Amino acid sequence: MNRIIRPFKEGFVGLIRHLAMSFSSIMAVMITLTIVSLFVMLTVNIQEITKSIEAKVQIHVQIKNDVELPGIGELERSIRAMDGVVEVVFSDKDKELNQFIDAYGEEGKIFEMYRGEKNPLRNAFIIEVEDANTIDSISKRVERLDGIESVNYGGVNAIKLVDILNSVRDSGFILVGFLGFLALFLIANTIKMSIHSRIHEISIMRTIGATNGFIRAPFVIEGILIGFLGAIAPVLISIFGYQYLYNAMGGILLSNLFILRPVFPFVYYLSYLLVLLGISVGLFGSYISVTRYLRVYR
Amino acid sequence: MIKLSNVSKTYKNGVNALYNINLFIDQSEFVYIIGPTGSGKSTLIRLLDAEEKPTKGNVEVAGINVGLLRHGKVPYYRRHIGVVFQDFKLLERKTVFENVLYALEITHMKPLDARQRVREVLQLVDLSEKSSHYPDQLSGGQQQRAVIARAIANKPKILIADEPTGNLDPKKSGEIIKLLEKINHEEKTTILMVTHDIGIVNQFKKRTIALEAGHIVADMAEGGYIQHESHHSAV
Repeated sequence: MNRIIRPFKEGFVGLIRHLAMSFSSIMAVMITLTIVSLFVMLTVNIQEITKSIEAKVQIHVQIKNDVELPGIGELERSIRAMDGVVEVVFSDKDKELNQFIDAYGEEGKIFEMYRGEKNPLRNAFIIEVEDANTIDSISKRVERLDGIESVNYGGVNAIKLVDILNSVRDSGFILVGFLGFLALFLIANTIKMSIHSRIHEISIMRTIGATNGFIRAPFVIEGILIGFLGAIAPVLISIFGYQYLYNAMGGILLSNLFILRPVFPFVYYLSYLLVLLGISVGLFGSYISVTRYLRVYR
Repeated sequence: MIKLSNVSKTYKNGVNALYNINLFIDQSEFVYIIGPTGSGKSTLIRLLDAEEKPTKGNVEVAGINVGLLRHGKVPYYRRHIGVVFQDFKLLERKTVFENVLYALEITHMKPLDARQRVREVLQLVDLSEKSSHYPDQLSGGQQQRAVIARAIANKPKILIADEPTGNLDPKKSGEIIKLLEKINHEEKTTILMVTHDIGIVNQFKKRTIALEAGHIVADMAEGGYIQHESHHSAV
C-alpha cells in the first residue's frame, strides 16, 4: 500500500516545494492546450459546414417535353441505379413553376400568367448525391440518357467552396498535429529544466541505493499533476467559450448554409481530449527527462 | 569481506588512479586508508561503491563481483554498504528524520518498523532532538552524524567513511571515531575509513593502509608494519 501512496505523496510535495518551476510548466501546458483547443474547434466546425454544404448540393435535371409518364419512370429507375446517387425526386412542371415563383417572392407574381398550358418549364428530377466530388461525373452520365433536356448542378461554386474548406480542414489537422508535437517538446523542456535543478537530489538518491523506478515514480506523478492542472483552464475555456460563441451566433455562421457543431456532447469530447493530452504529455515528458539523468550515474 | 585482486583503474581521460592493487579486509575489521591527495583513495571508494568499474582485476565485496553489476542492480548492492560522504550528500528538502527514513523506504521496509529503526539510529548517533531539522539548520558535526545514521540504518555489512572528520575540530573528530568504533563493536560492521588526519590515526590505533600514487605502499597492523604483499600471501 505504501508503495502506491508514497510516490503520490512525494509527487504532490515536489509540486508544492518547487512551486515557481511547477507554475511555469503548468503555464506552458495551459497555453499550448488552449491553442490546440481553438484549432480543434475550428477544424471540427469546418468539417461540419462542409458536410452541410455537401448535403445541399443537388443535381437539377430537366426532362424533354416529349417524354411521357412511363418514360419518366424508366429514366428515374436508371438514374437511381447509378453509383453514388442517394435520392431522386420527380418534380413536375407545375411544381417547378411554383418553386420558381416562390424564389422570386413578391416579384414572382408576374409569372403567375404562365400557369397551366403556357408553362414554359420542363418536368424535372432533383438528384441528391452521396459525395460532392462525384457530382460532375454523375451529371455527365445523366446527360447522356435519352430524353434529357439539360443538367444543372447547384453551382460549381459550391463545389469549389467544399474543396477550399476541405483543404482548410486538412491544414487544420496538420496544424493541430504540429502543435501537439510542439506542446510535447515545450513541456518536456520545462520539466527537464525543473528536473535539472534536482539533478543533485537524483544523484544522492541513487548513491543511497534507490532503484530507478523508485526515484522516477514521484517525478512522473508530478509531471502528470502538472499536465492535469495545465489542462483545467483550457477545458473551462473550451466548454464555456464555445457555448458562448455558439449561442451568440445562434448555431450558424453567417447563413443557414453554415451550421455549427452543437455544443453538447462536442465540448465534453474536446475536454477529454485536452485532459488526456495534458496528462500524457506530463507523463512522457517527466519520464523521459528523469530517465536521461538516471543514466548519467552508475 | 572485501577482496581486491590485481585491480587497476585507468580513467577515460587517461589518468591512472590505481595500479595492480591486492587487498583483503576481513569481516568486522576497522581499517584506515591514508595517503596524500591523488593517491587513489577516492578511486578505491568509487570502486567499492560501484560508481566506477575496475579497468583490470576483480573487486569483490561480500561475495559480489562489484565491477560486473548491471546498472539496474547497482542500487540493490548499495543497500549492503553504507557510505559516509565527505560532502554529506543529505537531501536538502528533507528533514534529518526523513533523510534517514529515505534509506529505509527504498527497501520497502514496513513504515512502522522503518520509523522505529530511524529513531534507534538517531539515538545511536545522538541526534534525536534534531530529527525534525533540515540539513542546513545543522552544524557540520551534526550533519556528519546524520549521514552516519543514514549509512548504518540498513544495517550494512560494510561502512565506508570518506574523510568523516575532514570538516571537524579535534574534539568533534574524536567523537565521530568513538561513534564509528561503537558501530563496529555493536553491529559487527566492517569499517573502512579514509582519512588525512594523522593525529587520529595515531590516537585511535587500527590497521592502516597507505596509498601513494596508486600503489599500496604500506599495510600496518595496530602494532607495526606488515608489507602488503606478505600480508596478502598469508591470507
